[in-house]
Amino acid sequence: MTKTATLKTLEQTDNVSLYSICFDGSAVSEYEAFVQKFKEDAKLNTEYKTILLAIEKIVAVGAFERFFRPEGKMNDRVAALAIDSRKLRLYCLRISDQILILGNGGEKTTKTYEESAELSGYVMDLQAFDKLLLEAQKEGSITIEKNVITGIEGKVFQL
Amino acid sequence: MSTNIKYHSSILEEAAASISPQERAVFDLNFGISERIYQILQEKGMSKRELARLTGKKESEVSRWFMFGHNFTCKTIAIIQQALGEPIIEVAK
Repeated sequence: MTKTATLKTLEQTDNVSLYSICFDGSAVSEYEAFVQKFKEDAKLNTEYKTILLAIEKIVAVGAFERFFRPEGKMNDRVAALAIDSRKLRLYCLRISDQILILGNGGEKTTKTYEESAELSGYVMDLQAFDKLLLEAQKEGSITIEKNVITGIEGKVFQL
Repeated sequence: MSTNIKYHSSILEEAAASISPQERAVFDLNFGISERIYQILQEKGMSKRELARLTGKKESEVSRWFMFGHNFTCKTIAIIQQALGEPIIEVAK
C-alpha cells in the first residue's frame, strides 16, 4: 500500500521554520508522535527534555549544521539531533539553516540505526520524503525560499 | 524563564510547559558555554582537534562539549579557559 505524507507547520519565526511530516492523513505529526511516546518515559526523561529544549533553541538561533550529526546516506539531508546521550535519537531533514523538518525517533538500543528496525524505519521514511521534496521542488510544485516552503498546503506526497 | 515559542500544536505546547525553570536554566547555561567556546574557536581559526590537543582531551570528548545537553563541570571549563587563554565564564576574583 502506498504511504501518503503531508507537511505540517509547527512553528514559524522571522528566522526559522519548523515542520514535521504527517503520514496517511494523520493529524499528529511525526515529531508530535515522538513527544507523545516519550513524555511519560521516566528512564529517558533527561534526554527527552534535552531534545525539546534543543528544538526550541534551534528555532531561536538557527538550524546550523553543527547542531546535527549526519545520518542516512551522503546524498540525503537526513540528520540526527546532536545530543550528548547515546540513548535517544530524533531524526530530521535539515533543509537549510532556516528550515528544519522533524521526523520521529526512538531509544537507541543498537550500535547503529541500521541494526534497529524501528530507527532505520524512521530514517528510511525521511530519506524517501527528502527525495519527494527535491522532485517537487524541481517540478516547481513547491518552492523553498529563505525560511519558508511554499506550496505545501493541501499537497499530498505519495511515498 | 519560559519559552517564547508558540507552537501550532497543543501537544508541543503541553510538552514545553512540562519543562521546569530550573531545567531550562541548566540547559541555557550549558548551551551558552558551548556557544562561547565555539565562538572563540571561530575567532582564533582553531579546530576542535587543536582544542583537544591543547586541553589534552580526546577528540571524542571535545565533540561532546558541542552537543546539546552536555553538562560542563567547573574543572572542564577551567581547563578550556586556560587552554584558549580566553574567559568563558567570568566570576569575581
